[in-house]
Amino acid sequence: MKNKYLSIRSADGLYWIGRYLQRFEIIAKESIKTFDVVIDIDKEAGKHFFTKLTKDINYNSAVEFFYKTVYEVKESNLCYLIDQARENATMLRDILDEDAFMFINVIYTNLKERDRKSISPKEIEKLIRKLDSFWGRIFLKTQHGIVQMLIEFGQTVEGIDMKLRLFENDENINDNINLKFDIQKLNTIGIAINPEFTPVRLENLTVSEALQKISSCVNEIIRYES
Amino acid sequence: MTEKNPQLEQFFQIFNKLDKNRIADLKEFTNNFGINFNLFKDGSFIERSFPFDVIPRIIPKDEFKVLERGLQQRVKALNIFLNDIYSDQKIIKDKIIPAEFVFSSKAYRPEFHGVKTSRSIRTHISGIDLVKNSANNRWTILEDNLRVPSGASYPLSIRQAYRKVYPEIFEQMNVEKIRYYPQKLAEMMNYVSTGGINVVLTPGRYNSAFYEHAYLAKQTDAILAVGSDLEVRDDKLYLKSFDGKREKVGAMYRRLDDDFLDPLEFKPDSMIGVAGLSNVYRSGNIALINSIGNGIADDKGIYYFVPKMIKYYLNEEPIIDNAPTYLPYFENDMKYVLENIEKLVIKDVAEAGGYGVLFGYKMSAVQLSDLKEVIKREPRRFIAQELIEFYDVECFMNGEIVPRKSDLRCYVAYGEEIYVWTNGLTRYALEAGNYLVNSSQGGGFKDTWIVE
Repeated sequence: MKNKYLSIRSADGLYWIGRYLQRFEIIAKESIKTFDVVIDIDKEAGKHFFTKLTKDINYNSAVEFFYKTVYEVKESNLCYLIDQARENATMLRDILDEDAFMFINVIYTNLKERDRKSISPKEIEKLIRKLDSFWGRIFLKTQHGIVQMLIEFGQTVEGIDMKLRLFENDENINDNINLKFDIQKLNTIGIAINPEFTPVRLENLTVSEALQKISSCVNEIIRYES
Repeated sequence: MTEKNPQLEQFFQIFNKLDKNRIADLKEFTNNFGINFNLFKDGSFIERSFPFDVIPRIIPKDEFKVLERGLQQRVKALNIFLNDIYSDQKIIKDKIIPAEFVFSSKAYRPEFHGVKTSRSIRTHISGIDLVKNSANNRWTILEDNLRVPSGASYPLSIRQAYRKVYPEIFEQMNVEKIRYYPQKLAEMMNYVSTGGINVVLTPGRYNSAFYEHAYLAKQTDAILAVGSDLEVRDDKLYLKSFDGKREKVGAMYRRLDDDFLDPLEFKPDSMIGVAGLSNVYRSGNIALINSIGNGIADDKGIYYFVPKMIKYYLNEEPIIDNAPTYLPYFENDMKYVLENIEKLVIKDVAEAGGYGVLFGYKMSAVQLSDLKEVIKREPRRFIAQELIEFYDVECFMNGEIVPRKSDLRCYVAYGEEIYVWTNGLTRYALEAGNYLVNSSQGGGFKDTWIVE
């Protein structure tokens, strides 16, 4: 019954679980890489990284950069992102797999209740592995149907969004094979949820136009206005 | 005094040989899975795991059989009472209950007089609070909860983990299975449904028992909804589906009080209800679980009359005792209450969740004097009860066994049959000597085992 009937709020929540967790994963992985660069290769690398996300960060060391990535960067720190994902997951406990919820909750609790000063890339790597377990739980449980598809739709949207922000410029947007693959995936899921979904095409768009296009395609999946 | 029985002794014989470190696994389970009963303290929302004690309350099966019959009898009578109060009011006309007691109750909803409910059921889910009196070794009913009783999900959740952590105990003791409760709830919802999907209506994430709302929705295969997920059209209730469609709701297990259910009918500033829901109910287009206006039957003042109701409607003697109760509304009772106030428990009928409960022996002379004046001024507002010395239960705290006050909430689902769940929520006070065990007062819970 639940796969058949899903409220607008629930569908939106599933979509945003996918987005927040994907953002968490990408920022976590990129921050670990950037941390290594900040140590002794390029002190400014952390600032460049967050500039692409239109966020400010100031730090005096790699450790401080990492701490702020996890706890302080406004609305993009890992603690904030997992908190947002967990809030959505909490409201959707009736439809989420219990273990899937548990993985989110464990990541959240670990970040919230730990001695914050002890946070390190190693600890975040452990949490990324928990997140892998979450994705595995969601995507292996095929009986979830629409639940799985909405989370995956959000995950894919966020993946494209972050790739556009972090790695693309207006010249190479049409050439990136990974991006093309993601768009294809997005369209496949979109059509599976709503057969009338208009496939997304990013050819000849600037990064800014592409971002707008990507973030609005959910409106064809969830009828918010109804 | 601590309650003992052979089954509990058997439990300790097994438990004492087992590794106590495994208790940490149960704690980890409640933390990881967020099995929370949240609190509001000093205006702040506190998300917290519901404290759990590993030693179960054990009730011998033959003892529980008596409780089962008594609870079925009581809920049946209360349901008839509600149908009567919202129709012919024979019990008032026959002077079994004074009219004033009904009509002065804030929980009575005259605007719903004459509304018929699906299959004439109103008390779909009851939570009946009991204690075991150490003076006569009998179970005593403290109060009936016929509006939105909470708590069933916690023993259901912990039992699942307990069986994995200490399977040896379940292998050796014949403990009644409890997993059928959600199925019974689902059957009940389907039985009373007016056609359509089943929904659990929650006030939202910041409700104390939100975990339970989500859990029961999941287990009964109902849709968990907040008010804004739903809309009323032509006196029918619909779920607003994400794909733009509308799905008719046939039964709604609502987990919010009447006052917040419909801003057009009750509190106009309620943001958590559904506008127009009352008219859906009036039109007979939805089964509301529980029905609107049930509060009149679990009003603390009406509690006094439940044994009389049982005799009046069923022509039977009550199987389970009420606590000895006095109504200052009656002259003789007023005299007794004023003369013995220092040894009585005074309850404000408008309060719930352990609030508004005053223990005479804890009050100063000035406080007692003030209270007497208030009782004289507002006799309908209070009831007085003898302080029952109920059994303590044994709890495992900080590595040792300690006695704590506890009660038992039994759950009764009224569908095609009246089903008493072979479990319940045993709540215990965290502090020694505290008689208030309510979850909203910070108490903990135990699993309740019915054992052959």
